[in-house]
Amino acid sequence: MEAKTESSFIQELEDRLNVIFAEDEKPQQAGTFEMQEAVETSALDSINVAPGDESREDLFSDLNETNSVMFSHVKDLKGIVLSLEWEINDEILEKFDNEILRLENIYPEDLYGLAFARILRFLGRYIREKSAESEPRSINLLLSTYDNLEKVLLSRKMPEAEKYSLMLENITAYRQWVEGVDLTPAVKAEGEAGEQPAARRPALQLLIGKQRGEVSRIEEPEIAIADEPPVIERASDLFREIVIEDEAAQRTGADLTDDMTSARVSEDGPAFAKVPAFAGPDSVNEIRAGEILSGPGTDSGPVELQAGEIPVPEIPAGDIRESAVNRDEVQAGDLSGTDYALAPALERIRQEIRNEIMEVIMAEIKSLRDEIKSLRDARK
Amino acid sequence: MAFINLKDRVIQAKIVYYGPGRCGKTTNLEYIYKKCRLQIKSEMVSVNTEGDRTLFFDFFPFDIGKIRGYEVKVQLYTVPGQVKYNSTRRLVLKGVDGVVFVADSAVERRNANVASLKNLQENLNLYSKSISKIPLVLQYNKRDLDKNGTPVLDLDMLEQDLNTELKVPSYEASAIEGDNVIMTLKRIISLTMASLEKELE
Repeated sequence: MEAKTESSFIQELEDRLNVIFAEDEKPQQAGTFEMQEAVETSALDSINVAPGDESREDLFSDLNETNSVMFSHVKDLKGIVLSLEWEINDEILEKFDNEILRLENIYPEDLYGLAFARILRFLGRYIREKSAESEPRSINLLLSTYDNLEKVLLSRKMPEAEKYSLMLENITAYRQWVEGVDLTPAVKAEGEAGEQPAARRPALQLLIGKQRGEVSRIEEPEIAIADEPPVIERASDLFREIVIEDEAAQRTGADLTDDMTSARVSEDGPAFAKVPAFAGPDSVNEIRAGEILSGPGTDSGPVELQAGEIPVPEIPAGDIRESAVNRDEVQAGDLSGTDYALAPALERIRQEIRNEIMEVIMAEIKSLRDEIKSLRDARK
Repeated sequence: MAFINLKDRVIQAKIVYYGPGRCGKTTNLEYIYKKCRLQIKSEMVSVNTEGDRTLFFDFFPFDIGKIRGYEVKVQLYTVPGQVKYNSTRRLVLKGVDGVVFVADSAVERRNANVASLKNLQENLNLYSKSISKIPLVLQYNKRDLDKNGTPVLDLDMLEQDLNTELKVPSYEASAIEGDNVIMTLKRIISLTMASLEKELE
């Protein structure tokens, strides 16, 4: 970095520094690579004042003024504002609020001071309320409002018109901000009651991060194991859809299970329960050998059902459903052998459907887990 | 990042004093503040300090005045040197335009110096800045220790450890006595402004 500072700007800058630190021109031994190029110019006369530049008198014109923040009423407020630039927490914002109230009492008749103080107070309370959800411009507006307040209160030479102009500009900015932000109180989600507020969050993150879309990423809820239930829910939804689709598919062939399905749905409600309607495990168990076939009126007329029995509707001619029974043997109204013949077939179909559904569900769960994992990796 | 407002004719640069814990970064700033507080219309602010340890940062806005019609402002920052405060150091480095690396001349701090310089390099990389390109000045502080009989690293060793590759300006200094503190500051301001000027071109 041995940049030669040859430009007139840099030369003038060095001259200025020499003036500022005139008494301290005592360079010690420098390192190997240092080029001792101290400019021994301590007299003010040596400064080349560029055209358009203000005079040296202007440069130090305020030196004797006691308008320093250190000796003003805003000294503490400045310290708080500087703290806010780096860290926003409830404690600092509370101090900020108290300090604003104190200033309002000190300058009760100062139009400009009061205007800026009120804007500051509202902004401070807004940020405290919204914490990390604060609109990103809020802290910038707060800082610029403070700057204006400091200027107006401490600059003795500032014309009244300029103060007024500053105030109007600030109020305009404040109104624009108000129109652009959500001023409803922040609602804390359940379970957050015991959590730390957005304290200890560096303001720089809030300022810069939000502007660059970084903080929004930070503030996203952590995807944790707790997200598993929603995954299961999604799987259930999927399962539900699959069941319905399968049901529809079954209906296209015949209404073998029509009555069964509708009966189960009406009784059990959830579509998930439709699965056994194809003759699920329980249903199958309920079919006892010979119970239906050997029941009264099997050869003609409707089958009388006993409590707990599941009706096996007639299989119309042309039914394409696979069966252990030779299709040719199955005639309309002919239920001979359907009991023993259909039960294993239904069981097999049921098992196949279950397997397919489970495969799809597991694949979906795996896919969702992978998605969550990739999101977590991306977050890292 | 430097703030350059051509309309309002304001140039503002950020310079960070970096280095291992207790190497004298805050002492540098305190000396500068003491020397120029009458000329500079600003105050030094130390935020969250614990005894003589900087926990958060020191901040010293330094208004140089108008140069060729431009209001030139320099913001001087220190970082907490302790290893555990790396996240704070990263934050303070954000937007940095120039760095003064303050090394501790005490023999037992040799490794700490190297580690801190490496840490600076890593943290600058986070902001896509290169330690070999950013305006940088090395300050070998606490040269006065040998007066008290405390062994100090000799200059060649410091240069070899820290400046072999960088080849940046370096100063022996004693911040507590003010030796070369201002020279270091002037040098980094010049380098930083020259760098900004070059960027603008």
